[in-house]
Amino acid sequence: VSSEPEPERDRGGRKHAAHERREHEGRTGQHAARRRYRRLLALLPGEFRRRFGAEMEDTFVAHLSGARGRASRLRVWAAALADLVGAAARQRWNGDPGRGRGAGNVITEGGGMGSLIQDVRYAVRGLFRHPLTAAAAGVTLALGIGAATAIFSVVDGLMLRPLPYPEPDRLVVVWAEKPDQGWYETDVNPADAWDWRERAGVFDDLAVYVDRPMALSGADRPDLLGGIETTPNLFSVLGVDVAAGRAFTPGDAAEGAPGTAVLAHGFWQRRFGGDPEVLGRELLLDERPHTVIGILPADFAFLDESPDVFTASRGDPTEAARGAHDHEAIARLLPGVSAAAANQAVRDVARALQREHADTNEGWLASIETVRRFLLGDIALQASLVLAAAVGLLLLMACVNVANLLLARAGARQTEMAVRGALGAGRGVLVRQLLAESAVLAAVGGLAGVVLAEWGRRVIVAGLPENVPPVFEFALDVRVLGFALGVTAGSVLTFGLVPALRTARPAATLRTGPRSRGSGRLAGALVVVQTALALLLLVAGSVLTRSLVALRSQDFGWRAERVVYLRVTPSETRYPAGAELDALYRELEERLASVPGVEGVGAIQSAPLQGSNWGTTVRVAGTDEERPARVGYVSDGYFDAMGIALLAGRTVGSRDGPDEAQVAVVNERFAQLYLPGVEPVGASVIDASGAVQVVGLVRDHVERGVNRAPEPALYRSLTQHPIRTRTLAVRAEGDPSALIEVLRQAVWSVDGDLPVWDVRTLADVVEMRVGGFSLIARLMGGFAMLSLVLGAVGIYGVTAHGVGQRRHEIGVRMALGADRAGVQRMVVRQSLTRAGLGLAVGIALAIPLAGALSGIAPGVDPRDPRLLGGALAVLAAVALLASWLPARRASGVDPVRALSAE
Amino acid sequence: VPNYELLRPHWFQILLALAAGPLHGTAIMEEVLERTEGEMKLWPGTLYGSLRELTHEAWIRETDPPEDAPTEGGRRRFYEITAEGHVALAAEVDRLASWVRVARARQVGRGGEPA
Repeated sequence: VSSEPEPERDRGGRKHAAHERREHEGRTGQHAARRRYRRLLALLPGEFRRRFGAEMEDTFVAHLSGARGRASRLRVWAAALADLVGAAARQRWNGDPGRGRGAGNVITEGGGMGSLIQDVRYAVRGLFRHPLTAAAAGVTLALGIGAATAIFSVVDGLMLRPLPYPEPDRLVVVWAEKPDQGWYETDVNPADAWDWRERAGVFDDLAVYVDRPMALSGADRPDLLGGIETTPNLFSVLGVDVAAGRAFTPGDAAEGAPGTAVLAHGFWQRRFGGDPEVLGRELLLDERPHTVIGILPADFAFLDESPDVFTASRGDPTEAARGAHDHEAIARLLPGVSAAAANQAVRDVARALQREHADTNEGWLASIETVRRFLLGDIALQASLVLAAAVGLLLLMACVNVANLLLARAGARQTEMAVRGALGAGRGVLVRQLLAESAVLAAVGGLAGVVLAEWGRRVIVAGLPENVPPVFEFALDVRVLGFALGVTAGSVLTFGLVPALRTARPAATLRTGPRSRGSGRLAGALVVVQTALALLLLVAGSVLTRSLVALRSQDFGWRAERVVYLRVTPSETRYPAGAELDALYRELEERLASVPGVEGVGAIQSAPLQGSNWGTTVRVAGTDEERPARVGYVSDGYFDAMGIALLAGRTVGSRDGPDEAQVAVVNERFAQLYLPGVEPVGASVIDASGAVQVVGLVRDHVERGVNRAPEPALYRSLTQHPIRTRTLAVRAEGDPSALIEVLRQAVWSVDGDLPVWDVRTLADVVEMRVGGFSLIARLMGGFAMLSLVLGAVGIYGVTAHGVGQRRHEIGVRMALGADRAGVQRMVVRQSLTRAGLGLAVGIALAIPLAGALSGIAPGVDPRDPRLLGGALAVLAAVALLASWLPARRASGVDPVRALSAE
Repeated sequence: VPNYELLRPHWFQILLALAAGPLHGTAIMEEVLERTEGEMKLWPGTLYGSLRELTHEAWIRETDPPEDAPTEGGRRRFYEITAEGHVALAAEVDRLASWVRVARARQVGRGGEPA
């Protein structure tokens, strides 16, 4: 070790070095570094900083001037920061050695690590002094944060989380529309779509596909697969690659090319046990051989569908006949092109096509919808917004309640704070400590909230209806936890700051004693806010609950309880023409009808709530106005099997052969709207097939959705229009679910290779359709109950605390002759005045809110005064109870004791 | 006899720096840095924390600046070692020296290399 003393050295001054250093500072902007370091010194206790701060800056600058290069300067900064944090902690825990060790309990000015730890220790101790208040506040917060986080995890999954495709914002769905018929978002024509792709100039690429159930045969068990037949570019439009094998190439779509298939991961696992050898194998799809060329990745989800297999469509889309709208289109926009601009561009092309192909394209336009919006749908979007808003209000109520509790305590602690202030703690220190209490409270509430949120998320996700598209993912991940953290931090400020500022008020309190009219006013204002919020949530809850009841108990026009659906697709090769199909279905209906326990059987091309959207336009004979109508194709027994009442005339079916006159049954709505003042049976309408005789009238019934009113509808004979895929509706004598397996076997006894799918009871189908509304209503109902509890606790807390504060005044009143009942009335009146003010504010806000709910609350008029009235009555009763309990206590004040306590 | 075995390395180096005469904080840092060939960097928090603790132990004390030493507007505090400080430092040096003797006897370190 070389430690030779250097007595001759310029020991104190080192002028030269100092001069050099200053020059260096000027050169490299170390003044800024000094300023920055000075800011960091705030970590240290004030006393230490005041004594050594300036010299510490000098020393730091000396360190920094020795550093050359960016990396080495960064190292100096890092080391200096670590040093400061360590020093701050040491100085705070040990305190001033001059005042002895363990002086950490002395409140010192400053901020940073050490003081933070100290504040937290103080906060925990403070909270344990009032365990009941702390527990009430913690539980309230946990509920608020938990509910908010659980809802956020779902809203995040639906609306914020990127869809599982690269650059998902560039993906759009392209629709055809014919506004003059009221047809929007309908399927596209492939030739039109290809023109949009080529000519609009906004698409990177566009794929056209069609849903095509495909029969898998030749294996041990016939199966009907969900199939997508697509132009070969679908996967590249989505930006998805296969996990094994290859994707389609243009060659796969060439006329005469061998059939190829790409399997979805789930189907590959289910059917082939994940066997990689399946690549290259041949599958019989619709009795044509297809070679398996690729397998999709496990995390691939295709929009709102879960297809099993993809095949390449044959031929050039441009050669498709125009006029048939039976395909769907998805496109990837060029970078930087907005959906609105693309919308304009495809409409321009569609208008040009109207001129070029006047015979087929007249009136047809196109529109663009982002994929997310397409997937989400209007109801989920509105529900997400409404639930997010509701849970936000609930969180606000929770914060208000906690603020109330803290305010109440603040009154009691004013003396303590005043004493501390008098002993030298600055207001900043006191506020910081009170905020630290809020932070500890929020941290505990937040942690418990996250646990509740995970539980809530599971409940919500389990309650989501089956038809939520599989691309959405719901997880309690970093984003959601980040949200919870943000909410917790926000709530600290919301509920902590005001009481903290109030409590840590100047020390005048020491003389006058702990009595604060101001905090009473503030608490009163919080009650007003809270009552208004509770009313909003109650109204929303009752609107949605009422709507759910209305949906479930509505008159569907058919009887859901005893019906089973079976969907059947006979293959084209085995049953090529109408006659064979007709014979097959006739045999199927007979066989099913002969099953013991079956009361009736009928067929339709798509049964109620199966999502069919078939429509046509008709013209009433003698008029020239084209009217849109829903169209169904039915067999003889259909209306009877479904329990749809035949009001007049007869049904249509097997007796109406292809060569007989075209006949139809209409529903009441059709008769009212299109045949006013005419006896419907015997009237004549004209559709694309020519003149159609109306031979029967049936009751209106729900078809498109549980939340949709019946539309004008026309029912034609399946014998005259042999549609291949049909739903067989079977009515059972008793519980229909017991029959499902027998019915399936009965179908297979006719043809062992006939794929049967979507076998469900109608009650299950209804439940699935109601499921989404049910979830929303149950959540909102839960929030309404929570808000009622929070509101009651708030009113009770503020009134009880107010009574406590006014013991003296009440004592004086009673000494002056006020009786107990009078005191009770006074307290209740004051409390109810605040609640009444809150109700008034709530009513003003509830009216627009109710309007906003109309989209997700079918079957209920949200402006129904009974709904608002009910919520008002419930809330008023709760407010009365929550005021009366403390009032009763107030009337028990003993004037002698209250006055002598001064 | 006080137990000086707990003498922290940076306390030792600060005392050693002051053993030659009064210095202010930054000068102590620079002296230690130079003497240890950059091995010991006394960062500000550690340095001034130690100076305060050493003052409290009464091993060093504040002193008037030497004549004609720049005090940067009087903000530089100079420290000198006290008698107790010398005792503590010497004890530590003796202790280290005894260990060094043992080490050399076992031919550890450069000084112990066989000639």
